[in-house]
Parts: sequence; structure tokens; C-alpha cells
Amino acid sequence: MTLEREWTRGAAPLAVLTLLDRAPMYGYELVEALERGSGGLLALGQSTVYPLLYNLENRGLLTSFSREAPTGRRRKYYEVTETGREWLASQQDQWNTLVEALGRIGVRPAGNGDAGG
Amino acid sequence: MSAPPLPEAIEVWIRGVVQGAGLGLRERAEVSRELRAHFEDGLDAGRDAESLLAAAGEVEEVARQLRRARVVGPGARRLRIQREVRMSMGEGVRELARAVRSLRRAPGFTLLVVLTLGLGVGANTAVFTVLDAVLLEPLPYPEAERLVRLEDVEIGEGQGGFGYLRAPVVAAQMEWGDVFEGVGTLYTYRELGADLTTDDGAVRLITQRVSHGYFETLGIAPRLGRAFLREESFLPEPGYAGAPVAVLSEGLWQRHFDGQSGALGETIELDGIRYEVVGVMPAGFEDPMGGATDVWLPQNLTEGGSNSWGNFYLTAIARLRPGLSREAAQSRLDALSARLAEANEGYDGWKTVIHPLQAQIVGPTRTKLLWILAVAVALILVSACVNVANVVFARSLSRQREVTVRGALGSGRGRLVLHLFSESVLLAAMGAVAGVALGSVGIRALLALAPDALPAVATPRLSSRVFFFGLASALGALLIFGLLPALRISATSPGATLRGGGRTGTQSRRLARIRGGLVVTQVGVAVLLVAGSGLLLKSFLALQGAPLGFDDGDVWTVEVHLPTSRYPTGAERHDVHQRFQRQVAALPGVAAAGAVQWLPGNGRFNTWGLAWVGEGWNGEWEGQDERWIGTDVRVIAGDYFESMGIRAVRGAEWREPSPDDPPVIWVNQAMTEHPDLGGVDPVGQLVAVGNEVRRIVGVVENTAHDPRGATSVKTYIPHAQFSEDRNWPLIQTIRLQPGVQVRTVREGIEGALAGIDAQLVLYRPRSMASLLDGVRAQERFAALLMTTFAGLALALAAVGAYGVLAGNVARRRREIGIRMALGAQPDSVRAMILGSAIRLSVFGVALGTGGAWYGARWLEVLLFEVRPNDPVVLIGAALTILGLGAVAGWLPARRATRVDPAIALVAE
Repeated sequence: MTLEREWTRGAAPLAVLTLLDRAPMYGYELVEALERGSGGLLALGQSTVYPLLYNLENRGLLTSFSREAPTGRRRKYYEVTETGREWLASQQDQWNTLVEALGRIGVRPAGNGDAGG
Repeated sequence: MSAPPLPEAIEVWIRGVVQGAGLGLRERAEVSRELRAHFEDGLDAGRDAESLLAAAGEVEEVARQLRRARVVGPGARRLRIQREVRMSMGEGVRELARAVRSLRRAPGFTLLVVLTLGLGVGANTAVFTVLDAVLLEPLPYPEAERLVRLEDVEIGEGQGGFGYLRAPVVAAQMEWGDVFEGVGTLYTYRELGADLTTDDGAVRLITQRVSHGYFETLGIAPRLGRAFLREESFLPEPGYAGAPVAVLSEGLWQRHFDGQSGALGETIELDGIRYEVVGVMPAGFEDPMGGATDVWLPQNLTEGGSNSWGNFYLTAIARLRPGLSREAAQSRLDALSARLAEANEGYDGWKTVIHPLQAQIVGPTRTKLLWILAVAVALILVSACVNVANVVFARSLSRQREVTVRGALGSGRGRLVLHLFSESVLLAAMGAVAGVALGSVGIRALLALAPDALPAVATPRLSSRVFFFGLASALGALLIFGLLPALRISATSPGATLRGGGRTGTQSRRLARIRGGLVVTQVGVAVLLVAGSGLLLKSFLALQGAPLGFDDGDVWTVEVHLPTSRYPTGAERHDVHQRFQRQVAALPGVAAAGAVQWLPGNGRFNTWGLAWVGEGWNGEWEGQDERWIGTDVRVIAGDYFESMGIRAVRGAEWREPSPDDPPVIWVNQAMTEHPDLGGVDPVGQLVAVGNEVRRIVGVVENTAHDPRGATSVKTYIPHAQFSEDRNWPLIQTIRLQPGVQVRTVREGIEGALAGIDAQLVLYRPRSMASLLDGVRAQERFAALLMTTFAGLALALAAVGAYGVLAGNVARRRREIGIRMALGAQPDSVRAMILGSAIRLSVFGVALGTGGAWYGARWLEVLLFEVRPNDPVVLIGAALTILGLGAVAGWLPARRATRVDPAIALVAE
């Protein structure tokens, strides 16, 4: 099962900010983390991740700094700014509200469906 | 840290993304670094390049995403603008570089355009420089706009009165303080000479008699010492000469006093009279009229004697009070003149008028000439621009497909225009540089041509103003003629051009018609200029052929002055001249030698009067008004008439009388025809001239005092019977035998003078022909320049017509091919092309002839014995251009007949 493009794109900022809120990461690390953490469902690839990072940075939700990565190479790390945290919180609320709204009309989260968890 | 090399495929991917994203330089480096890092990390993690690239996505898509990522959110607008500016600047630079490359690939085209523009701009730069210096640049005096020349006019006689003023009038004008801040005079406006005594013998100097107030009026103070005091111009006794003081030019001060300030208080000896040096003028000071003065001496204005109410001989300049308009000044002058006339009978019926000094110096004819030349060169620039437009147009057309393809692929119109326009800008810049370079050469050529045609106070030079004029005219020209084709072509619909395979019938016909129209303009300009130059040339030839009453060929002239200090008596002075002339006349190669104090053809001078007094004149001029005739006095010696080729008409032949003989004079024919004589034969009459009664004994032919052949009543007084009265320098007139060069006799002439007195100077040697060249300089200048311009216009029109006709033949190759395939004969094809050549010429000629007919009246003031609408000139100009049109059409017509139908029809 893969997600349709629109869903991925809509969820990507929330996913990226949530991951970066836990710990600053550099590009490749983030791509890997998204892929691994989502079980391959959010394998966004560079075509989405880097433009998204620039976009979020440009909007002041992320900031970047340069630091040596565990591989010994110097990498550009991204971390969430205060604005980003506020935005993340509001998006989280939106997400919750959406899920709740969908639940009320009978769209249930996976787990009790036929796919089996 | 230098990054390890990545697989080529990944490098290509990164480059593609970064270049496609339209990032700035810094962003580009940053993004590229980060993308590289990503792939490095992937490879480090053990993944292969293919899978990484597969996960990375399509280059275009990533680039698009990156482009979009940067242009949202706060600050994005600024970013976007920055990026667009950066992009278009980069684009501009790229386009310019592209233009440089494409022009380098078309050296012929580039050279043609740059040279054409260069010629047009150069001619304009040169003429504008002269115009600027002569008409626009103020005179080199502070607040020069307040300087005026005074003139006395007889009320009711209208403008154009007497340029010279009378001393008592000037003395009165000096007191009119509520109009003038200062008034000063010059002794006529011609330079006078004097011999300066030095340890190394006599040196001839140019002196100028000026009154108190002269330097103050001009607003230039001496660099050392003082100007003339009032009492130095108002001596207790009347007479021309003021106090024996002198103001030196900087040059003379350096030469004679080594620039020592001790010169003040020293004396110099001029013509045997000692003058105390009281001042030194700064370097670069020039008299507004005349010029190159070495010494200024004070003019005496005290009334009486020569300073009478009847002797007009002073030129007066004045400085208006600050803030006073010329009109207000004139109305005050009217009142003051009336009051002066009430108090003095001698001023009754006269009034003082003022003229701007600059206009007086330049003169109305010269002003008109310069503007006419300016119009002529402006027309040439237009014609040059038409040619440039035509070739640029043709070039753009040949690239229309390329441009249209770019347009169809999504290039914006702005970028297309930029693309076409960058070449024009580059060409304009090169044309301007070439133009200013050619212009500076042109200015030197103009000055070499016209030393006498321009006033001395104007010194044309290439100023920054002139440079910007050249640049602006080139840029303006190309803006119009480069941008129009660019806009036009970028506006064409891509479909039409592409479908038409580059041969869009209606469209290219329309463009051809526009180009044809441009050529018609050009032909019109050429007709106009050819007609103008034809008029001026014809006029100049008439001028050169104008009968002057003397024969200027083979006459060599040189001035000799005898210092009064060493030659105090008239008899001694006459003896020197006589001995000199006899010795010179005896030299092999010399036909005749004589002398005169003022040469013919060189303007009026010493305009006195004579009165028909009859026997027993009491020496009183009062009451002689009725029998008074104005006459130019010429003092002659030796064989003057013979040396100048002036023929006797009747009465006694010239024979030099002795000082003791009864005083005699000769007159010219104009005297016998003077209306005041009422037909009385003047020969044998007694007249008072100078201060002596003399008998008219003979009549000689009229001589002209200007190159147009104007003549006046002339009275020839023998030097032998005049030398006691005044010590005037005499100009020796030496006629050489035909074919003899002056250098072969010059040594003999110098030896003759040195043998008489080694200290005497042969001053200003020149041939009579060169003197006449000098006085005809303005007309020659006008004719030569106009002819040059007409030649340029002709060449430009020929090139333009040829270009358009050749273009037409190329455009109609297919059509011509079809015609010939269907059996058209070469003759009819040739006639078709020649016909269109003639059509272009005929329209142009009609336009130009109309313009010439209308515009020629502007030239009238410059013309001599040629009517502005001279039919020969107009028809000649029209025929010249028609012939030129036929020539320009001949080559394309011949090419048309050689079109091979088979090839023309097959070729795409």
C-alpha cells in the first residue's frame, strides 16, 4: 500500500516538523527517518524533502546550522524554531480535529479494519 | 573540505536541478552542497547510485519544487524580486555577450553600421562643437550676457545705422550710469601697428587704442598694475592719442620684460614715442573684436579736432546694469538720446541703440550659416540612421524565424525585445565612439578650413557637452531604429512566420514598403543637400569670378612701416618708399612695384569725405555739408595702379608727383557717377580732402572693397603729397612677371629693404590671392562643407537604395523565377527592377525638390548672384539623384536577370 501523492504532500510538513521537533537532523538523516519511521509509507524523497525544508525555513518555522555529523562529515542540520513549534501545535490540533471529525462520521483509524495490524 | 567525486550521473542530476531552479549564486552553492551531501550519505550507507537517483525524482520536478519553495511566505516577495532582477541582469549580460559574439560573426554588417553611424554622429559632433563655441558658449568675459555694442542710428532711418561712433557721443554715453555699468571704446575694430624699439632692432607690434573703461566694461582686470584712468582718456587737448601710457599683453610682457613685475613704471618706445607701462593683462585675454593685441594704448576722447560731432571712428561696447533688460535699457536710452540731441545740435535726429555683443561679433550671416550647416548634418544623421535601420531591419528579418521559434517556445516578449535590442545598444555604443573620434578629426579639419570664417574669440574644442551630444545622438538614433524593428518582429505571430517558411508574403511586402519609404526620405534628404551645395558652389564660383577691378594674380604684398623717430619728415619717409620701390621694380622677375595704405578687397577703411570747395577755400569745414561726398581715401606710391592692374579711364595717366608740385588726386569711376555731382565732370575740379585742397586730374577703374565686387567712391592721394601729414605704414604691392615664383625674388626684396635700413621690418607678407581667399573664407567654407555633406548624403542614399532594391530582388526570387519560367525575358525583368528603383527615386526627388524649393530662401543671405530657386541647380540635383537611383538599381536588376528559375523554384 502506498499513499496517494496528495495525502503525502499534505502530511509531509507535519511529519517533518514532528520529527525535527524531537531532534535536529540533516537532510539524508531526515529522509531516512521519515522512511523508516513511517514504515516506508512516507518515503518522500529529495524531490519533496529538500524543497519542503527550504520552504519551512523560509517561512521561519525551521532554522539551520552546520555541525559535524556522526559520519565525521560536516552537515547542515535543521531544527524547529519557536514559531515552528507553535505552528506544529496548531497543525496537530487541526489533525486531531480532522481525525475526530472523520471518526464521528464513521471513518475509523486503521486497526479494527480488514487489513489486520 | 573538498568533496569526494560523485558518480557522473549524480553530478549531472545535481547540476540539472540547481540550474533549473533559477537560484542566485549563493543559494545555488548552498543547495548544491546539500544535495551532494545527501548523495554522499546515501552512498556511505551502502546504497547504489541508481536507487538513490530513482528515489530522488525527476530533475525537472525537483527543480520546479525548489523554485516554488523559495517564493512563498514572508520575505518571499523581496526574494522573488531580487531573483528576477538578478535573472534579468544575468540575462542582459548574457544577451550582450551573445550580441558581441553574433556581431563578431558578421564583421561586414558591424563595420557598415558603425561606420555609417560614426560618419553621421561625427559630422554632427564637429558642427555642433563649432556651433557651441561660436553661438552657444558665452563670450569669455564675466556675465557676458550683459555686454552690448552701441550704435548710433538716424531716427526714421530704421535699423542698421552707423556702426562707428563719434567721440563726443561716447563721452556722453559714459555718463549714462543708470543704463550702463561701464562704457569703453576701441579705435574702429581693426588692429593698428607700431614698431617697438628693442636692442635687436624694431619689432612690429599690433596695438589697439582703447578708452578708459574698456577693460572694466569687459570685466577683466590687469594681472599686474592697472587699466587706463579717466584722465588718460580725457586729455586737456583733443586728438586721437591719449596719455603716453601702455598696458601690455601677457605675451609681450614675457617676451620683452621676461615676466618681471619691475616692468611697471618702465617705458617702451613705439614708433619713437615713449610710453610708461602701467599694466599687464592676464594670459588668454582677448579683445572681443580684432584680436591678438600686443599693446593697448589709451584713446583720447576730448572733444575737438578729430573728436568732432562729424567724425565716426569709434567702436563702443558697454555693460548693462545688472538686472536691466535690454528693452528697459533701450527705452531709457531713447530718453537719454533725446536729451543729448536737445543739448547738442550734432546729435539732432540721432539715437543710441544697443545690440548683444555676441551677436555683433558672430554676425547674422555667420549665425545663419552655422544653423544651416547644423540642419544639414542633422539630415545626414537621419539619412545614416535610415541606412542603419534598413540593415538592422534586414538582419532582424533574416533572424525572424529564430526569434519566432524562441517566442513559440515561451520566451516572453520582453526577452525577445531584449535579445534584438542588445545588438542595437552595442552598435550604438560603438557608433558613438567612432562618431566622437571622427568628430574630433572633423573639428580639426573644420578649423583648418576656416581660420577666417570663425570669430577669434571662439575656440571650438571637444567638450564633455559635445561628447554627450554625440553619444545621445547615436543612442537616440538606435533606440528609434533598433527598437522599432525589435518590437515589430517580436509582435509577429509565430504561426504565420513558421507556416510561411520565412516567406510570409503580405508581411514582408509591408516591411519592404516601410523600407522603401525610408529610402524615399533618404533620397529626399540627398536632393535637399545636393541642391543646397549646388547653390553654394555656384555662388562661390560666381564670387571667385566676380570682377573686382584689379588683377590679383601674381601680386605679392608686404607692409613696411617707418618709425617716426628715425624718419621724422614726410620727405624722408617718401624717399625711403620710393627708393625701395625702384629697387624692387628693377629686380629680375618683378613687373611693377607700388604701395597703398589699404589693399582693395579687404573691406572699407579710412572712409573720409571730400568737399567741392573750389578756389580759395578758407580751410573751414563748417557749411560745406552741401558739397560733401563720402570717399575711401587711398594713399598710393610708386606704380600702384600698374602693379594692381587698375586701368586708367580718362584724364591724366598716373605719374608720381613731387611733394612740391601742386597737390593732385585721382578718383575712381564711382565718383564720376555720383548723383550729387549732377553729371559734372570731376576731372579738373578742386576738392578739399584731408586738410588740403587738391585737384582731380584723372579717373581710374572701380575696385571692389569686398569679394562680392561692392565698390565705393575712392580718392587716390599720392604719398609724396601726403607723407608729411600722417606717417601711415604702406603695403607694398609687387607684381611679378607671369610664372615667376615669389621665393625667387624674395631675397632681392629683403636685400633692397635691408640696404636702405636694416632695422625695417617686412611685415605680414602674403599674396593678394591669399588675402582674397581669406575674405572669401566664409563662402568657401560654406560651399566646401555643404558639398562634403551633399556627397555624404548621396553615398548614404545610394547605399540605402541599393540595399532595399537588392532586398526586393532577394525577396522576389521565387516570383522572378516563375516569371522567367513562364517566358519573361531578362530585359523585362531588368526593367521591372529598374522601374522600382526609378519609382523610389522619383518619390524622393519630388519630396526633396519640394523641400529645396521651400528651404532655399534660408540660403539666400549666403548666396551671391544666384537665385535661391535657381532652376539649373534644382534640375541638376534632381537629375543627379535620378541617375544615382538608376545606378543603385542596376546591380540588383542584373542579379534579377540571372535568377535561375529551376533553382529559385526548388529552393525553400
